[in-house]
Amino acid sequence: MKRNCYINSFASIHPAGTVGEDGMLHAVEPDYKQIITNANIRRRMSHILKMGVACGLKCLEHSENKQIDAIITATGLGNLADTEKFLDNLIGNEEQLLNPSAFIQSTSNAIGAQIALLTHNHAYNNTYAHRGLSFESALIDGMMRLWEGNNQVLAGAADEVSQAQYLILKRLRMLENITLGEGAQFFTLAAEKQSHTPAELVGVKTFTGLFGSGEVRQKIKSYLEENHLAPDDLQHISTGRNGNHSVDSVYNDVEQLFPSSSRSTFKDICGEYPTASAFGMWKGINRLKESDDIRYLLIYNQYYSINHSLIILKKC
Amino acid sequence: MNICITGVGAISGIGVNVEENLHAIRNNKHGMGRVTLFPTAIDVPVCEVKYTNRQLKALLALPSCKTYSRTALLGMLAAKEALSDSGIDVNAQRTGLISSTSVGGMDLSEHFYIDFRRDSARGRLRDIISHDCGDSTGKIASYLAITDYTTTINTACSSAGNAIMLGARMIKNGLLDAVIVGGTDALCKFTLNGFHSLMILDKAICAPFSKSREGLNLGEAAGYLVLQSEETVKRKPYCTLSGYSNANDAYHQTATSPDGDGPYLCMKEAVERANIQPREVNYINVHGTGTPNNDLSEGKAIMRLFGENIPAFSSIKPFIGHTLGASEGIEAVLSVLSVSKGIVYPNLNFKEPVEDTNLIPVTAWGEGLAVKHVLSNSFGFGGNNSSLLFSAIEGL
Repeated sequence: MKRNCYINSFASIHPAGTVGEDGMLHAVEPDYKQIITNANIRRRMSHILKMGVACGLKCLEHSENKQIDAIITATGLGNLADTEKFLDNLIGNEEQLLNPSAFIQSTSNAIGAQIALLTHNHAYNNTYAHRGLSFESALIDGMMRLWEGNNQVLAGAADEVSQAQYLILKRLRMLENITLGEGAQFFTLAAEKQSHTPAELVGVKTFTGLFGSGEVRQKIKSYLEENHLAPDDLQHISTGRNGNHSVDSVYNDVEQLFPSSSRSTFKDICGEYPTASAFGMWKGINRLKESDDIRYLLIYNQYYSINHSLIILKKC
Repeated sequence: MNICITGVGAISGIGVNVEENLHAIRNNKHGMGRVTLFPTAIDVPVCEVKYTNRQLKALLALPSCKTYSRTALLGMLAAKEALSDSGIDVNAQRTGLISSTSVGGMDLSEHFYIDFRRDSARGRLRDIISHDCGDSTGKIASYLAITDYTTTINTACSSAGNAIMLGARMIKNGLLDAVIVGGTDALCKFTLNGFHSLMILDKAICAPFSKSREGLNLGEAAGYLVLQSEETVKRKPYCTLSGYSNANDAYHQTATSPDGDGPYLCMKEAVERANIQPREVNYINVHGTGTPNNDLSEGKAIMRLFGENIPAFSSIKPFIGHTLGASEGIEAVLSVLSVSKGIVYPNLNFKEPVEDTNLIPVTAWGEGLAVKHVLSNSFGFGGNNSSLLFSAIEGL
């Protein structure tokens, strides 16, 4: 049975929009000691694990209801630092006397698993690693869990920058006017509203392939219709504009669909990465919370012109 | 709503299609041998698919000059077999693809990294663009012309179980009508060294559920099912997916809890979802990796759930190795055939039972048996545990 999906709490660890000396946007990190209190576990964690786990725990702390019926995480590229560390040791030590820690933590499900371990949670636990649609896949799973009778689900995403990734993307010419970024965002999705619930997740849609902006507009229109919405109903449009001219021209065309809506972007703060739309959603929820003029908000994001996603939020 | 299984596809070290895999198991032929895919200092048996990437591309009628990760190639072959077995036209209904992998394109990335590590201007770029897990799913979707929902799951060794579960849920929730589900993983130096560093690789062929078991063997494989809603089924389905569950052990990053809390929970919930009693389960395709920890915990969990009525059970890992993100893909295919053909598979290499549990697996191939309900387990790092329950269709 389809049920409403309220976003009861949300948390983010993200860059501040200031590009570092290395040309990338790095997350502004909290004092992890306050959040991941077990020193042994914290010490072994890599950057992405600390970001993801701390963000998930923060999000849970902000929810009035502490009972979590599912933990669903997403990462486009996974634990890059641990993967590279293990690979580097493997080659450097000629396969001798390797420390397994980096290998164990290199799997994409390490964040969700650590959150379960630290909160003693035996519930449903799943991880998506589907490039630019990983986070959206986690949201779709989370919404289904509510339809299936769960009361509250923790869903979130994390990706990290690495120097190797930067150098490789540069060589692939994938950073033309694009700044690489990172971050972690978590949300509790719930069937029941709480006193301070800021927003409702109305729907999530993904589509894959190289499409002209006409086709993208058509797909957006039909998805809005499916949700009984007209372009005029959306007072605000947030896009994954990233500075690349050919990509941004698609965003321009999409924005034309909504002539009366106000607009914003989010990658100027968090940078480009596979799960950047999670930061887009976090920012969208904040906007809904602060504004009285916006009832519905649409986030349209694409990742390298292949992965497209739509997220519709409604003010509570 | 019944979730019907209408297609199966598999590739492993004992065969490039379902029939070859069954034939090898029937004849007690495992696929273990030395590593030939890459140079390595680690001397343990592994179960490689006996085809080079070039040969796999030829089987798929793909241009030999184009670079594909081995993970993608294995996935394409098994998913293609499952789809053609089902006989469905992907455009006749909403058809999705949910694929899983734990290593993604690491077989190419680790090659790239050797040169890149010395000089960041070096390393063939075409060997790194398929690094992420989503790459193989995208390749399979394009190859099979799937345009509806696709996604990729990575929960380590239980990945494919979760992909199959998600497919069933998407049909039940009305988001898809048909879906190709399963997983693929190629053998690579990264995982071989990873498991070696954890000291859980057996130097001989693994002996799951034996007292003297010393660890697991790695393998590579892909396995996919086609799931359909009852309304869209045109052929006689193999069986139904009647139950499923995902639970977290929440005990340790790599080890399973001593009493198998996570395994117990997910088996129990899968059986409950199917509305049957544990004693009605006829056969369990156990995770049975052959590590001291897994088999003891899984055995204890089985005893907790089934009490006096322990069903026939076995691990097929001595035949094909532990194929990680693909393991529940190919093992689900074998479980489906267990229900539809009444087969139980031998637990090759079994010696004497574990003292604490005294559980004795099936050691001989059986066919034409009355098998109505089959449970299939997969447990992964991070305590990610999943169980699937396949059931015969009444009246078929």
